[in-house]
Amino acid sequence: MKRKEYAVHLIIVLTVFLAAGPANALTGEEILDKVDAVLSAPTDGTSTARMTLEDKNGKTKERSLKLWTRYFKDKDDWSLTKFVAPAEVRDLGFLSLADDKMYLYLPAFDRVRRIASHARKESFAGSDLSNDDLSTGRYVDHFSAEIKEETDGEYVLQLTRKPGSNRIYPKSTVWVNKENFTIPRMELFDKNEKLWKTFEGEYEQVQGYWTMKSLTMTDVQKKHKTIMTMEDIEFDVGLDDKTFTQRYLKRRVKVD
Amino acid sequence: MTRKTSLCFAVLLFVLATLLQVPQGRADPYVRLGGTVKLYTSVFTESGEGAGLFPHEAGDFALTRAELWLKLNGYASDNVSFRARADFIYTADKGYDDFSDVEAGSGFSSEVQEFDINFREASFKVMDIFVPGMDLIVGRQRTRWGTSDEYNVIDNLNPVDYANLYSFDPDYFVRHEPMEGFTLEYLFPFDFDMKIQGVYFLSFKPSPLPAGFGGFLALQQKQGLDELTSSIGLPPGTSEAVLEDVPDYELENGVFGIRLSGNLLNFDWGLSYFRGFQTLPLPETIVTDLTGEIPSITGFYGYPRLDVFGFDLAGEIYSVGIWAEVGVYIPENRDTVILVQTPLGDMEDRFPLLDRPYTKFTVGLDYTFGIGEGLYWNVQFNRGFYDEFSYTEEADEALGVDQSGFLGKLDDYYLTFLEYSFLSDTVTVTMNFLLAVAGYSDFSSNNTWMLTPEIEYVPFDGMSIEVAYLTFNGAASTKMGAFSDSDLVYVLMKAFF
Repeated sequence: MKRKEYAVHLIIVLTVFLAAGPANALTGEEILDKVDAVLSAPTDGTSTARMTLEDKNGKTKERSLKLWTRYFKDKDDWSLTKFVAPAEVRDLGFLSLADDKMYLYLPAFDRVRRIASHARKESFAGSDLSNDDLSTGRYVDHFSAEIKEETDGEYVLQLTRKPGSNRIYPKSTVWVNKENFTIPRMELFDKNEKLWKTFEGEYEQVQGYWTMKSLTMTDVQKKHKTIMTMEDIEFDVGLDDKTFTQRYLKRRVKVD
Repeated sequence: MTRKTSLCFAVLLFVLATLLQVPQGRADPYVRLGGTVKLYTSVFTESGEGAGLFPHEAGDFALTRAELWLKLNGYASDNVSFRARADFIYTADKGYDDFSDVEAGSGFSSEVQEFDINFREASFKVMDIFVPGMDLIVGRQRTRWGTSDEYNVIDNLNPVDYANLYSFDPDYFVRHEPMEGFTLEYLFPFDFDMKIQGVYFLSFKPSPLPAGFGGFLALQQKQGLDELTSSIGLPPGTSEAVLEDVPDYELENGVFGIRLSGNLLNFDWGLSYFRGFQTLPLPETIVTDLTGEIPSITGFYGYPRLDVFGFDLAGEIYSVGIWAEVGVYIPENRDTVILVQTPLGDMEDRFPLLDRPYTKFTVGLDYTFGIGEGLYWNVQFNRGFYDEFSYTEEADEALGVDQSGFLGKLDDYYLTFLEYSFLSDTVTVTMNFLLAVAGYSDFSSNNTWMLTPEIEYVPFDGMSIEVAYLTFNGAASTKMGAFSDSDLVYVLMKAFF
């Protein structure tokens, strides 16, 4: 079994804008709380994603995924991710539930395996996203936030990992859109406080929700980047809780 | 049906299936064909006798196989899915010693090497069949039990393929054979973590054994006979191993299992019960005839009943993944008989062969260190391998069976590996280490270690190249130590579609 296959942990970072009132005099924690609130605004969602991995020489690799997500306001979201392509990882599945309960489905062995939360550190499917980047859970539960800077359109927050949190970035700088509380840009630092990755996100409204349609994560240390685009996004489709079980994790994916 | 006809038939089936491929529709049939093309080849890096089984010179090929795995799966409707797999295997490990080796068959093929088709799987699954949450799987299938990584002591429903155990092809390592039958699963509506699963396979199925295994048993018997005859001045005798007590292919010889699993305090747990048969042949009667001019020994082997109660657990503590499994094995309560026929009369000895009950277990943990893209570490301890048994003292006294080796006693296995992927998973380096301990009192002559550095390279999507070096060191009396003069390198190349 290859550990790279552990790198399968995805939740859609679909950001939703709800009518946020005047944002004056908000603290860093309050801003982060609003980001969390819009993240979990829909009841559930489905989508497909295309991931392009590009190395410093411009050589690319493609990944295709299908995603199912159940959002909660008071606990970690649930997500089910299935790989569609390339062929060697087709039907590989990942189920993430609350309380760091994670399962990997290995189609080659037709086996579901429990994954411990140490897998957060691993790269997601060879991309520049770690499992931690795509994990569920509210920001405010894991980070304290201070306003570093404020412009006309954005807050710039300095996030510091809270003691006891298992998130992999000790510090990060986060740009928050004042209008819709989406995150257009992040800088993520390693344990030596050296810049590790940069994140850029683009958003559109889907079914009235502000939604991330694409992201670019660049590992500045490796000079490697990953571009992920979301398609076929649907919210509030009425997903059954049973979708987020090992039973569905093992199901084969239909490919158009 | 001849092999060639079977091949044509199988190919035709898959071609038809491909032609049937239709776009996805909510309730429309959906069919997908995929698979793997593979070449595995291994070369000995040192000369040796290989425990007397595989004499070889450095540079000899150990095994070369080209394989095509065709996998077909899809949906007949939203609730009915199906899957099938056929492996086409070409083995090029046969020598050319005489004309018969280079003469092709009478058909159109010029092939003189081994070729095989293995129908690995053919099953369909019906979801919500009687009530919501109840699924039925019908057909030729593999049902795996256990939460441990790599090795599951409660995984007894499908027999282990021992014919390929020492091929060292990772795709064949402790591979279990599919069986025909039914699996019924029910997800409890009040707790989606809780599931009960019942399995019924139609009839007993033995484990595939390596070529010459019967001869190997006969040789072991003969060694015992020769000791006896030389001590009393008789000439060397003959030996034969006979497979006699094989469960008939009938309803009452089905294999049955039930497992209840759930989650408690964020730990996955499972309780299981298996009722089936030993899948390795065990000695039931051994007859030594000293009445004739030439002494003889005949061993009669069979597959007695076996019950296994299992418990398994998996979870994490402080981000460290942990797992444990225990299997309580209850062999059938029957005696092995030793009968010695002499001119003065017969002597008979009876004794239970195996302890009743005995236990196999495994515990392990894994962790990813935050080094680079993550350094993965896995460590595990196993008490007893699939082919090992806990023999009674009486059995050891009479047969000398309480030894290490294939069909030997329960040994201890310490396994660990470190794995690191880099260049965005393009390269993965793994270092595997195994220490097998047959006894702690005279440690140096009772242990073997095996080291396997391995590198996998994925230059493009849809393919992989893996190279590994396997080195064995230790006492030749132990199972893995028997390969201490059989270090080898293998290359495994795959394309996926």
